[in-house]
Amino acid sequence: MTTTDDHRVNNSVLLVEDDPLVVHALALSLRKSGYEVTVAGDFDQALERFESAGEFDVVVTDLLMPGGTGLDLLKHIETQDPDLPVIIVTADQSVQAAAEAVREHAFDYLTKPVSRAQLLETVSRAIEHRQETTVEKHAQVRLQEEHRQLAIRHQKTAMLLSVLYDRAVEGILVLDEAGRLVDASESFVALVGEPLYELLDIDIRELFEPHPTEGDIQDRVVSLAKGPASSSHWRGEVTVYAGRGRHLPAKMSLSVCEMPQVDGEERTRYVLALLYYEIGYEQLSRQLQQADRLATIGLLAGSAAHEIKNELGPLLGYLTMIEKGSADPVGSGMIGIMRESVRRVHQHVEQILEPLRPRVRTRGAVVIGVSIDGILALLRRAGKLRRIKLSVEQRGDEDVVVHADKDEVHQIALNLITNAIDALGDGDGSDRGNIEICTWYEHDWGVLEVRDDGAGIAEELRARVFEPFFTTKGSGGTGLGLPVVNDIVRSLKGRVTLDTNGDRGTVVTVWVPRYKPGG
Amino acid sequence: MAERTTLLSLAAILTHDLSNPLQSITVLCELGIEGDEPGEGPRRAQQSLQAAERMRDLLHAYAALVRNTDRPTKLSAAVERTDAMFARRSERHRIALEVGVERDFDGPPSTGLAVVALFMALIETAETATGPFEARLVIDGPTTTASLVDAAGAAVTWSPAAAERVADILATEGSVECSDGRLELRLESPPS
Repeated sequence: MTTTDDHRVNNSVLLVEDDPLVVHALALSLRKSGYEVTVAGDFDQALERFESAGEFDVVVTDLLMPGGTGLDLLKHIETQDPDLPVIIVTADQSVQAAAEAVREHAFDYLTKPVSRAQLLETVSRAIEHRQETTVEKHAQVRLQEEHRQLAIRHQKTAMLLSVLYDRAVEGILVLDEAGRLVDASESFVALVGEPLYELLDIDIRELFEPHPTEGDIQDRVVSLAKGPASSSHWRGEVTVYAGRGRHLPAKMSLSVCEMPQVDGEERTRYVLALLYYEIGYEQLSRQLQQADRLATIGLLAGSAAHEIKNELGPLLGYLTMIEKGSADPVGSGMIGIMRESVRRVHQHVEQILEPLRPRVRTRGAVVIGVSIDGILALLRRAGKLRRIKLSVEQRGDEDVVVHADKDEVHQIALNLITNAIDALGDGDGSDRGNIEICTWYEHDWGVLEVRDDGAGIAEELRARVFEPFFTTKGSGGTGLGLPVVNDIVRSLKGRVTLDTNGDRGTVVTVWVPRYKPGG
Repeated sequence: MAERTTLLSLAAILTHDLSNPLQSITVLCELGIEGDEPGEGPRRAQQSLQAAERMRDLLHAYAALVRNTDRPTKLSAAVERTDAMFARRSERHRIALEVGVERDFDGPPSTGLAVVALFMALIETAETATGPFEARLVIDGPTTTASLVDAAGAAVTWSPAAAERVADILATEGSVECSDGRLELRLESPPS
C-alpha cells in the first residue's frame, strides 16, 4: 500500500460525487497520484461521461446522488462493460447497502471518511484487476480466434482426408491394436469387392495371405502396436485376397498412430496401413513368367548346343563319305544312323523351342513327379547335376496330382531345383552338396518341397527374395525365380514358404490345390 | 413512537451528512502532511475550513433542536434551522425549497421536531416521484402550508405515513391535514 505519487497517466477514473467538498478532495488526491480524473456531479452526468468520455479503468461513485443511486449506475455499467470495476464510497454504513453493492458486483465498498491510502490502494487494486481481466479477455478472444482457425483447418483437413479416403488409388486401412479393421478407403473396399460394413472389425488375416517368410501380417500389426515407439514403422510385401478369387501382391507400409487422450479416455493406438498395388498385376506377372522362361531357355541352350554339336560331327563325316562315293549309304546302314542322329537334333531343338511356343494354359490334373523327372533329365543332360547328391521322394503310395497347368508346375519345380543347385555352388571340384526333393499330400493340398544344404540366405534378405529382380546370386541371377514361383502359386490360390534348413541351406515348400476329379 | 423514529432518522442523517465534510478534511489533511505544492497550503486550509463550517452548522442545528424540546419555539427559526440541516438532502433529491413567512408564530415545544418530521415527509414524498421538484412552505401564523410539485408542474401526493408521523409528534399541540398535494400544519398556541 502506498500513497506516494505514481505515474499512472494512462489510468483514468470516473469520480461520481455530488458534494463539491468531497469531489475536490478525492479528485485532488487521485490526480496527485497520477490518475486522470473525470468528475460527474450526479447520476445523469455520470451516464453522459460514461457514454462519451471514452473508456475508464475504474469508477469511484457515491451511493446517494441526484437523479439516481450509485447502485443504479453500477447496474448500468454492468450491462455496458461488465469488467469495469466500480468502487462505492459512501457515508451509508448500513449492512444492507453494502450487501446490495456486493450483490450488484461492486468491486469494493468504502465508507466515508476513507483515508487517502485506503482509497488509492483500492483504486490501484481495481485497476490491476481491470488490466488482468482485460489481458485475460484479450487472451480469451485470441484463444477463441485460434480455436476458430483451428476448427476451420480441422474441417479442411477432415475434408481432405475424406477426399483422400474416397479417391486415393492406394488402399488405406486403419487397424486396431488387435489387427482388426477399423476403417478402409474406397479403393481397398473396391479391390476386395465386399461392402465396408462387411469388412469392419474383421481379422486382417482374412484380407491378406501369410507372407512366405514373415508369416501373418496380423502378428506384424500387433507387435508394432504394442512395441516401442522406435519401431513404429514397417514396409514390406503382402498379398491381398482381392475380389473374384484373385491374390494380388502389394507393397505395404505400416505406421503406428497414437490418438491423444480425450476426456479421460485411455490413449488408443492404431496402425495405419498404406497399400500400393498394381491393378494390372496379372499381365505384369505373365511378362515376368515369360522373362523367366527365356532365362531358363538361355540356361539350357548352351547344353543343347553342345549335344547338337556332338550329333553334327558324325553326320558331317557320313555326308562326306557319301559325297566321295566311298560307302554305300543304304547298305552300310549309314542312312539309318543319320536319321536317328537328325531325330535327336530335332529333339534338342524342340526342347529349346517348346517353352517359347504360344499355348493356352489349361489347368487340370498334373502329376508333380512327372514334371520333376522331366526337369531332372533335362538338367542332367545339361550337366547341371554333376557332383550333387540328389534324392527324390514321394511320400505315400499314390502320385501327387495337383490342379494346375503343366507348364506352371514345370516352372515352379524348375525354378526351385535350379535355385537349390545354384545355392550349392561348385564345391571347389569335389562334392557340391545335397538336394532333397519331396512330394506328398497334405489335406487338400499337393505339396512340393525342395531342400538344399547350400549357403542359405541371410535372415535380413529372406523377406526380399520374393521381390522381382532381387537376387542373392550376383550377376548370375535374374531375380525372377522365386517371384515367379510366388506369382504362379498365388494364381493357383496356393501358398509358398521359405525357411532355413537347420544350420545350413534353404527349404522352400509349395502348397498347390490337390486335383479332385470332377471338382 | 413517532418522536423516536424521527429522532433516530435525524441522527442517521446527521451522521451521514457529517461524513462528507469529514471526508474532505481527512484527505486534505493527509495531502498537507505529505507535503504541499508551493502556494497550495492556504487553499487547502480554506477548503478544510469550509468543510469544518458545514459540520459546525449541522451540529448547531441539531443542538438547537434537542435543547428546545420543552420550550415554545419560533416557527420561522425552526424552519430555517431544519432547512439548513436538510440542505444536502434537498439538493440530492433536486428539491428547490422556497420558504415564505407571512406571520411568524411561537409554536408549542413539539414544534421543532414536528418541522423536522415535515421535512422528512417532504424528502420521503420526493422519493416516490421523479424530480426535479419545487417545494413551497408558507408560514402564516399558526398555520404552515407545504406543497410539492414535480417537473411537469403536477402536485405530488404526500406520503400518508410521513404525514401521520408529523401529526403523532404534535399530538395535542396541533393537527395535520393532507389533501390535493398540500400538507397543512396547524399549531396550537403554547401554554402560557
